[in-house]
Amino acid sequence: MKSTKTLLGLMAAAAVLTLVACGDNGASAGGSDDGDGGDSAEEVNLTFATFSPDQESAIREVLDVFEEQNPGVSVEIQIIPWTDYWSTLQTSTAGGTGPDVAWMLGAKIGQYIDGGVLLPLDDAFEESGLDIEKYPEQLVDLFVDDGTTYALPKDFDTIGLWYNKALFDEAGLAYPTPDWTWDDVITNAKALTKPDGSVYGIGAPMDPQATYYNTIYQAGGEVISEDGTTSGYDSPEAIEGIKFWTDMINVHHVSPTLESFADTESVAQFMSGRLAMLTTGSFYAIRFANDPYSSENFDVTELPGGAQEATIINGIGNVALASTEHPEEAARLAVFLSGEEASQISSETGTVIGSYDGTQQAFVDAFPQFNLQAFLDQAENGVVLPVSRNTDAWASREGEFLTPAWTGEQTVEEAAAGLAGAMNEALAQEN
Amino acid sequence: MTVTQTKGSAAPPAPPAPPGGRRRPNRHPDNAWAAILLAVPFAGLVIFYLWPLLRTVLLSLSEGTAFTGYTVTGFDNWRQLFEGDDVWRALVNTLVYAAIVLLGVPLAMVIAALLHQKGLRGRSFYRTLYFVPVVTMPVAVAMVWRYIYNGDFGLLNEVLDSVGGPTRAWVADPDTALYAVAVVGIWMALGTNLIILAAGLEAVPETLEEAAMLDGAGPIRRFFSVTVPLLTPSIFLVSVLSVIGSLQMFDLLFIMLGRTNPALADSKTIVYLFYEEAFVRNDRPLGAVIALVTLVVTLAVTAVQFRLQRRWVTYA
Repeated sequence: MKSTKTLLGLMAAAAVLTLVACGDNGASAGGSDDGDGGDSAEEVNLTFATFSPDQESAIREVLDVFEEQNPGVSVEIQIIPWTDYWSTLQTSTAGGTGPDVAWMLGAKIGQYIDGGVLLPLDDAFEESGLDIEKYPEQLVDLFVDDGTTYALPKDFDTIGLWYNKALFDEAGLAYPTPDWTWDDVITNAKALTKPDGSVYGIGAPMDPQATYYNTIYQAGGEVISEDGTTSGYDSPEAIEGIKFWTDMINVHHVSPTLESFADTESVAQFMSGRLAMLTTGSFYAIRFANDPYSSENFDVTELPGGAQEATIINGIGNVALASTEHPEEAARLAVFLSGEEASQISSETGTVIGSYDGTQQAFVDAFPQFNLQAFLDQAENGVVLPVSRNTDAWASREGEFLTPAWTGEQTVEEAAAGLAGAMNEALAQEN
Repeated sequence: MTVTQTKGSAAPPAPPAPPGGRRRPNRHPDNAWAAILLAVPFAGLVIFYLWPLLRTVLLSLSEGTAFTGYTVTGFDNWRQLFEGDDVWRALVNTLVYAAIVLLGVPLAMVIAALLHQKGLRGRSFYRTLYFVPVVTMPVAVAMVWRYIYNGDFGLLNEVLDSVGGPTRAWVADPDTALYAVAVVGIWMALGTNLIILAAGLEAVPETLEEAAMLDGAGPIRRFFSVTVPLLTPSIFLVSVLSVIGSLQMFDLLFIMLGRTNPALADSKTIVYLFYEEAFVRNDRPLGAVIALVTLVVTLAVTAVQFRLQRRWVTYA
């Protein structure tokens, strides 16, 4: 009953929006026809879809520069909330009513490339005079298929070891350093944990990008084989990498439980002083800087090493959709949004690390209270967030299968074996 | 008069007008209007219900992705769904949830009866109070209850702790999560149920109550022997709406449990499963199967309720 009403409401809203949108286009198209009769420059309106309201002002700044350099082209930002973003982009693109340019992730791009709905950006890139060598190589590979570039990374993020200086001082311990090992983390976490449960040494949430992917690669394992056909979860190294975290909860008792993280996000627990350490991304720098307690007490260093050094690196790309009416301008915009100027502006805001080499110092300088250089130093050990052609098909199963390992109901070996089986099945379907 | 004429014109099998021949003059201009006015909702029905339903059925028999397009291949998706455990577990969870929320109906009846008492002061204040959750966004409600249920810092645990009761992570524990969410479901539905039942109570003739009183029936006896039987049509309506609403439950679960909750596997409802397959894993055909299963289950449960109503609903 209620959902029917909601649905009707949505349809009505969609109808109104469509009308408004049509009205807009019609008006401006008509205007340029009448007004600029002899002028060759036609008014071009592009829409650009993103999922981050936080970055809107930075994006607008970038777009203003683009509009200035491309007279006659105007760009409208369309912010679609994360929970709706991918289904909206997919359905509207498949229906030919999508935006002209949009944000893209490595985990999602495979389906779009296979569907043939993306514009190649090679020509526009060449024209822009940008240097491909200046982008993090691992991320560029994510968006290139068969030698054709479909997107360029606009930014990147890596994972670091954040810590609460006040809690380290209280326990009389030295702050973490880049040369820490896994054992150092465990020893210190034990010393930091208070028996009454008010402070835990570290947070061990079940978060692929922030926790266990990193340690799987540090242990020498892999999430997915290099050719993208088989799961790496059943290797001893991957199991070791997962165990590092489950042991924190079930063996060493230095982290709150998974139940606790379900109730209160790990970052929220960290910001309230309940966790002394948390491994998470550069993308939280702005949130920590805006919070007085975190800004004063937090700092960050490189991830501790396992058998080898590794951190998960990820970034957002900008794609141009083939359904656009202005392919040339759309491709130029997609490249510009990942270019040097855009990168510089992103870094200066401190929201993300600009991807173009040479613009990143601005990010480090944005919040001098944190040692953000650690995130840049790690980039060379970056392992790109593992993806396949249809990442969601198996990534959505990870939580399901690993939960019993986190709660201690199953051994990591059992959970990982189950996950590997389901993942191999999903991968078999896409190949 | 008009009615008879309409019937008269419709009754004889109208011979099809010969092509090009002179059509019989339409003696009832009202008929044209009726057809036009009926066509609008009928078109709506076709466009928004029948056509999507047909498309869903076709999609459930198809393979493909949004970009490659979908081609009808057969019953593979149905087989895949029913061979796995997920759908059975989700169906059981959904029915358990619906059954618990149904317990909110007697609760609403008691509150409605209390609010109906003569001489109660501040009645509209209480009614507004009970109706607030109905007009509040489910997301906001879910967020607030998440804080109440929080295992480490929650209000509920604070209260239970002070009286020596059991404390736990209510929505992160597989044993309690579904029940904890159902309590919120009851609370949210209470307002609507109250309004319908209150209207039903208003319709109970006072003379009957008075007669029962003269016969010596106390307030409890009057409630069960006079009020409840006369209220059964409203109770039936409320129960049906409640069950249909519960079978479609998604938002509370989605917000209150989150994505990495250890209780999630044991608490997924059928619509949650639909969301996961259709929008997380992008398997729209499998999603279509689940949507149809939901439809069939809803129809079946509602049909059972309508059958059972003959035994207990009295239409005065």
